[in-house]
Amino acid sequence: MIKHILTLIWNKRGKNFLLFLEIFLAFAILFMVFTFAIQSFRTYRSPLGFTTNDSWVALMEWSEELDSTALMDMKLRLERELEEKPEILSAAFIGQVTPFSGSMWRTTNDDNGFEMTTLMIESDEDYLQTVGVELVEGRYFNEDDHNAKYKPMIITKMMREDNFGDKPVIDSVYILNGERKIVGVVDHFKYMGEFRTEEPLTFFLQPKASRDLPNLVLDLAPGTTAAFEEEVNKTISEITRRNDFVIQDFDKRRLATSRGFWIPLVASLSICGFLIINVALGLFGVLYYTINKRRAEIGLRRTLGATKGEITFQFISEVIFVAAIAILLAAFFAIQLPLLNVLDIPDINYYISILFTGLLIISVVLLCAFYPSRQASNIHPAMALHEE
Amino acid sequence: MLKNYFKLAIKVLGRRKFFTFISLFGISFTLMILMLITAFLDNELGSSRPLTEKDKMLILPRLIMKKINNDTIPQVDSTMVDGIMRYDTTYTYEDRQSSYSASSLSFPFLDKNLRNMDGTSVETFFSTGNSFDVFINNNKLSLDVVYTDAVYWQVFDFKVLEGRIYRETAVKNQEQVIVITDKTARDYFGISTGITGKSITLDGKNYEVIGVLEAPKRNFESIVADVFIPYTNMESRLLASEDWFGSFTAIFLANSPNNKDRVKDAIVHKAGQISLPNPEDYNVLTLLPATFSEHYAKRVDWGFHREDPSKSYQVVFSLLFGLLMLFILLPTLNLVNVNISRILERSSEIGVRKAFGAHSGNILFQFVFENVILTFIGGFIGFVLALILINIINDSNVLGEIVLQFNGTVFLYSFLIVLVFGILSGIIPAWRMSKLQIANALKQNQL
Repeated sequence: MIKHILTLIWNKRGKNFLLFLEIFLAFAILFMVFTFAIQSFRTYRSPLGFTTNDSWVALMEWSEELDSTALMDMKLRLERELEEKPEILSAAFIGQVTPFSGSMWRTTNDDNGFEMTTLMIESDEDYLQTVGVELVEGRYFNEDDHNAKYKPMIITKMMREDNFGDKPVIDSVYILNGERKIVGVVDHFKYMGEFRTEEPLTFFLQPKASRDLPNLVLDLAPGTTAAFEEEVNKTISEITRRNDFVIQDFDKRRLATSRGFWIPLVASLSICGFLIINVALGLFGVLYYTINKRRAEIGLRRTLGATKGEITFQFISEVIFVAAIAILLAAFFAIQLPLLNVLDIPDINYYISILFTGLLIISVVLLCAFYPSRQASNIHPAMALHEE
Repeated sequence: MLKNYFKLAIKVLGRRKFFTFISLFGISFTLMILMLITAFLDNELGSSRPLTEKDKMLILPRLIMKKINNDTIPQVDSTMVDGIMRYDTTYTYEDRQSSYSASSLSFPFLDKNLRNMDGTSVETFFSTGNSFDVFINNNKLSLDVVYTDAVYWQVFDFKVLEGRIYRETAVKNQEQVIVITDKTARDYFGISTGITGKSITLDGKNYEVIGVLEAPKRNFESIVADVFIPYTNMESRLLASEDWFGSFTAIFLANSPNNKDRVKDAIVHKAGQISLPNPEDYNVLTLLPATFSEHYAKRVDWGFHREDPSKSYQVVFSLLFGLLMLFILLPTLNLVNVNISRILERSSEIGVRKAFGAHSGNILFQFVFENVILTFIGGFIGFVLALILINIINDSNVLGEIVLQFNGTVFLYSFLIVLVFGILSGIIPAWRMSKLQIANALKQNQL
């Protein structure tokens, strides 16, 4: 049976070659887009690790003229006065690098005898609790940390796994911008955007009064109005005696950052959708035509006792066979990407994409082949032979 | 003759409606998407106002400082030769980067080092990324400010709707004047005419509105802003800071588009001459000026993280071109496939025509012609669909401030694409059929 089908395919190799080429190309394009989409989607689904709703950040500048005591007074007074407002649940200072701002601070070094790459964020002792970062091991920063022998740091789970493996890390001292002791491990912190992959990250503690922590994060009670923002704005400008600060809503910043990723994703997926419909229609038309051309053959087989199911099966398997060869060949090329590590994408995403693309194309081909084959098998043998 | 072919083409199209539908669907949707992409690219990379001079521009958005250490790595190989251990020591020298900092530049750095570069006509330094919150009737308005010099208005030819822009003297005298966009005028004052002379309070200062501009519908951070203020109004410490990092971007205009490479070389060369203040922290200064397209590619980047914008340009645009080619290839192949089936049906017609003395060339021409007609019809439908889609996209604001529009170039490109598409998808099946043997053709089908 299979040999028979192979002969049939070989005899029509000119025609089948075009079909083969079309499916090969379709696989190539869909595979690329799906890999991109799966990669984006899986990244999007991975947790941020902190909350963004009802959360504001005041991005501020502090006068250079202030000495450190004056600055400390001003910053502490600002935090106290804002926290007194019933709408504000808590406030915390954070460094220049804030979530979704596009800025980052990264270091790679081998000071500890192994290569360590990490992003860094500076904050005060309240920040992690304020934005709801979950603790996995150890503890959050506390006020005693400011006077500790070693400066404390908190690392993310990913940082721990990438650099320290299974070793216990709590209370270990490592060199990272000076000697620092790990006091805690937190779950996730994917701060650059929902569509950005998480990277190992380390939090450094700074005193609230430090010039290195200019920005204030505010955790708000739900349902806070825009009028309240004006009130906060006034408070800040009265205390800091400056106007060049902005208050931003973290939810809006998160959405704005993601929008730049949604547009190409949706655009490429809709183009793919169109390509699939296009290929399916073309395939259907061609198969319908070619199968109907073979009425005589069908009539003959029917006369010799082939059932309708057998006829349908024959035509479908012919098409599927050509498609399968094209898909296998294309998949062979596609699989080189994860094997050769061409792009910085987890291997699993490629495999899901290959599987998904293969299944999708096979089902489209099946659908397009089924109706014409079915119709052809319904031909009455006498009619078919008579026509010839 | 052509008239006959035309009539025939229309008749044939009407005969097999399903096939016609398949072909038209493929052609029109492919063209619609191509037109949309060209319209988008034209909007991103074209030279509509205020970017008329973009072909002469070199953009220097950042300054990069690195610490490069030269490591000497000795490697000792030991081998037993005739029972005696031999040692073979090799040294490899490796540049290792231990620190890296990149940010936009400070005004003093630019002013001191990068004025009057070789091959430039003018240069402008301006500060982006500044914004202020303003409250009007319980509504928050976040105003993005660009602090500019007077040359900025020479580099970007904004359309001035009302009033004027500021000149050199206003910048020098630190005049508190402001130029706003029509969008800001509507948001802030609620009216769109008679704005000049009114005042806006920003950063505790009162600025007099002297001009209203048409808000640029381009996605280029150097011009996307709500208000423009002379840079001398910035905090004085920012303009006198020793720090090389700041909030400024520099744009150089080459005196002709062909001179861009000269300007680039001059800036890169200059970077090598400037000595760094703290060599133990950073010992290499890199300035990478980019042309407009390179700058765009660097921004798109797609995760390649190339440092050099010209490399990003090569990668991004070759990838884009490759994807577009692939995208055109698939529908074309599909169409070839469908066309072969369509034409096979007409083998008897070909047989008769050949029997009556038509050459292969005639047959080829006829089928390609028919296909071009089909593509034109599809192209027209695609054109209309694209127009509709562009309107929907513009109305829905998914692309933010960007407004896609049709223009002559886009239409011309699309027209060319239609033609290539038609000929490409027609020529293979037509060529195959034109070689058909008369006897076979006639035998295959009853008339």
